[in-house]
Amino acid sequence: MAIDDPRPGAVHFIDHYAVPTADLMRWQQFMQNALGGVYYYTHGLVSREEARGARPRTFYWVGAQEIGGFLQRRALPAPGPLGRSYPRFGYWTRQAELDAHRRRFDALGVAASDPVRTSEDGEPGTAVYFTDPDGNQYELWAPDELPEAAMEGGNALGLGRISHAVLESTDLDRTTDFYGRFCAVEPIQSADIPKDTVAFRLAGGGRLVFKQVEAIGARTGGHETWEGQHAALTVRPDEWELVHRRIWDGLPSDRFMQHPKVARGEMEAKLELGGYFYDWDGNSYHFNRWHGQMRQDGPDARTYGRNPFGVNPH
Amino acid sequence: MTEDPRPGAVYAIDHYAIPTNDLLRWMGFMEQALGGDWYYTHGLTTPEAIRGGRPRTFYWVGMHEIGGFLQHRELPAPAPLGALPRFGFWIREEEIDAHRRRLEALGVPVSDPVRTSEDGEEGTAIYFMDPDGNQYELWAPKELPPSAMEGGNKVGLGRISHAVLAARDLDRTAEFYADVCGIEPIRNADVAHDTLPLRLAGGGRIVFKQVDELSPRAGGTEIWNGQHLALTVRAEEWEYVHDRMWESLPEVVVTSYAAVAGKGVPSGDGPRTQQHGKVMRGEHPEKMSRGTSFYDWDQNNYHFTCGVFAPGDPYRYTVKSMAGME
Repeated sequence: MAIDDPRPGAVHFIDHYAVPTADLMRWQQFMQNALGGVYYYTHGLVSREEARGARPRTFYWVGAQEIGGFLQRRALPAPGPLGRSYPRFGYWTRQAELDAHRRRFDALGVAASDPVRTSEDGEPGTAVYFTDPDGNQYELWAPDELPEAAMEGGNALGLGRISHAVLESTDLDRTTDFYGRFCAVEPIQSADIPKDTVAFRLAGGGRLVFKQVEAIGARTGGHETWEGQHAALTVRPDEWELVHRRIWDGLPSDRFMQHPKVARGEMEAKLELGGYFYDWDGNSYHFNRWHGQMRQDGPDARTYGRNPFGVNPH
Repeated sequence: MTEDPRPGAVYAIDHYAIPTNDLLRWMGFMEQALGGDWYYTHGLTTPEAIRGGRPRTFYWVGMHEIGGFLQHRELPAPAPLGALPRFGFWIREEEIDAHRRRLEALGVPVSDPVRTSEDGEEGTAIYFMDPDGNQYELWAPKELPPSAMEGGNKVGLGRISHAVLAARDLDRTAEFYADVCGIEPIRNADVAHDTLPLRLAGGGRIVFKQVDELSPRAGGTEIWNGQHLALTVRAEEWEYVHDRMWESLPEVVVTSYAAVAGKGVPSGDGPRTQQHGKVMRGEHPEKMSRGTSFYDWDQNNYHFTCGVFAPGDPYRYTVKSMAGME
């Protein structure tokens, strides 16, 4: 599962992701009730942050993963069909617990699929697809063989770590070249993988999966399309310089940009050039070297587990 | 209290809303300093934002809803303690020192106790402010009105005792509030010459201080998004108070809520009515024949709250509707 001898500068995990929402407090309830998230912080409710262009946004800890929701200025498109819409983010789950998760979703009114047995995305297992109230797509992924540490993180509802993401690509060859060069990950070779799919194995055992599409969907895209939307990819701290130098040397300058917090003047630039980068289809990333760690001395640690918002009575 | 209130008199300040530059910081203040209980937060949805709705949170402070609205613009630097606009809560005289110690422990700027009778009644005040520079007062009168300490506030605050606002012409202001709110000045030798305290029928006050010019913090929702007071009138006089107001005040129609709210530019110089923000934004149907939000001569902004009182009790009420919205 994990790669024994990863290439230099290989992506090891999906550390976190952020999704768009049209109702930040409703999304908070979904995170708490459906994903067992623990409130971390809300930013963007300060006039001077707003003046710099920041939006209201909340981050949760889902086990060891920091997951963000960003309030959008424009309406999101109607939700796509379960399991056939992208972007989609998966969490490892034990096979024995899939039915319990489905019953839990049913009780919460979360739209969820029946279990689907598949090996077409690079490894065999069983998936349950579901969406949040904004139509963001998720998946519980119970592989036949769970990687080591897949279920760590202490999630209150028994979800494991982020197993994979399924994204869109308009040209799988070009995508394979991009992720090979800039993320040092390689396609999984398997006869079960259909020709419209390329699945990359991450060094820590997860996957980045791409589905061939004619045109990218209305929900695909990074921060420029849906404010805040991105995924963070964990690399080794000792390869931090290498991975950034690789994108700066290899990508056109319009494919990487400063982190929005740096661009807004909220955070000092610690990198020589922009650390946010885009693939050919608008999927947006930054690298991360602190996988699954809350900085206890950070300014947001004091609000951990203390959501100041409840459920609106009207 | 007023023994024989005029028809359509205002009985109480039901609630108020103030501006903030940091909504979460303000929420922390409300919980810790005022003992507030979170009620709701609106403005964190895309449809609301598209209609011009701003992030805002309301707390229950005892029986009063107090709102904080996140502003687009930076608020001015805080004025000295005791500045205007200022909102008071009743407290017991014997608890003044405990409240001061409590506020000091929280790092809240707070004044020494001030013995005064210049604002219409005798008592002791302590002035304090929130981190946005909004001004508050704990008011321990020599004699507390019945029900002043009701509401179950967990840090021992009573109901809203009064508001202190700015006026550039006290005679004009006295006439306005008599005509539109059915309330009269408190007259006694202790009232300062630059002060106009108006007695509410339920025992509280609205106090005006003469100023040459309005301060940057004065004004209603056009100046600082969401800033207003709500004044309780009797349910059986609900239509009467609105008809009275509409007969005497012109209506200002604005193009959209987002076009005017919090921009710092008033839509008129004098008293006027306007649709309530929720109606302007299409969140509530217009049930009244005209706007229910109104302004005095000095941009102070209100709407009425419909209170159902028990017979013979001018203090306690339940809210039937706010500004014509159920």
